[in-house]
Amino acid sequence: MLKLRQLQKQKQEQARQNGTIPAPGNAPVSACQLRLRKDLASLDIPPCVSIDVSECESNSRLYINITPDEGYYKCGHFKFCATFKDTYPIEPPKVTLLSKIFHPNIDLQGNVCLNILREDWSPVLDVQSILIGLLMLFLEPNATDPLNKVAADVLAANPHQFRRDVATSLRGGQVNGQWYDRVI
Amino acid sequence: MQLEFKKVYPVFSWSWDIPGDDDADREIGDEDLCGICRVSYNGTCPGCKYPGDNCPLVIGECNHNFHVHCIQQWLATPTAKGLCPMCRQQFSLKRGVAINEGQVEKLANLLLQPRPAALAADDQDMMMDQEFAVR
Ligand SMILES: [Zn+2]
Ligand SMILES: [Zn+2]
Ligand SMILES: [Zn+2]
Repeated sequence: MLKLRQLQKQKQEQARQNGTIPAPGNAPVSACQLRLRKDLASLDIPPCVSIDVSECESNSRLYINITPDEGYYKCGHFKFCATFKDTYPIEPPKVTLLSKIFHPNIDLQGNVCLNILREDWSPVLDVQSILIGLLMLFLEPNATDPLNKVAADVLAANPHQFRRDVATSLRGGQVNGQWYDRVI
Repeated sequence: MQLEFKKVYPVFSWSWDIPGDDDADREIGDEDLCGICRVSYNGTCPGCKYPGDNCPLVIGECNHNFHVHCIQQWLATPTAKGLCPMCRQQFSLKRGVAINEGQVEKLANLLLQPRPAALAADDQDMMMDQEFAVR
């Protein structure tokens, strides 16, 4: 918790320093980076989420760590990479999960099916909205519009079985002939 | 009858439209920020240097305000579907608002300027032209 607060302080400090006037000698700051700094400065990070800022400034890439404190995926450690192109916030960032997990809305390559990152994106959304959206994926996995059909079918047919399968997969086990990454 | 003016006391009055003056805009935040770039309405979009006439504001029929350059970029994308980013209603300029009147011609000119091939080929272009017309 302390670390989180320090991070947030740091970020606010950075945002203030960077402000609207880039330090002399620096390359001009892109619109994307300006907006991203504002996003980070105004973040209100939920307790089960943390963000790696170390790597975010240079290449507009954020690493988002989520450890749900309830639901099917409780206590799993999930690390996402969010890449922000120069078109942000007109276009959403590309978000991928870095481990292979058993989830109806995340495929085996880590592609994420989240409406606000696709058809429901709006340029008034920000990093905060994305954090919350990703967290919701774990709290309320959705069997409609699946990226992992096997997982979606189990969830729809038998939530108890789904719970067991998720538990197995999180420990690095095999579900339906497919091995998953150990994230617990 | 003859009148003689001994002194004149000119009196002026003025008023201005303050964007974000009604409740619909409060959801953007405490300050009046463009929801897209998060820069003050009085400042510029990230692509501009000088505020004011060079980087004007527009007010939507839905009472959501943006830098004209910000909303234009958004409406040029297929994802936008011509919708306001805040309330997802069809975006059009509000009628009879002074701040918009000044933009009609400018907007028309902006829309006439050649756009990148990727955008020009886009179906959304047609839509954008329509949406930007003041009804
Ligand atoms: Zn703006
Ligand atoms: Zn501008
Ligand atoms: Zn609106």
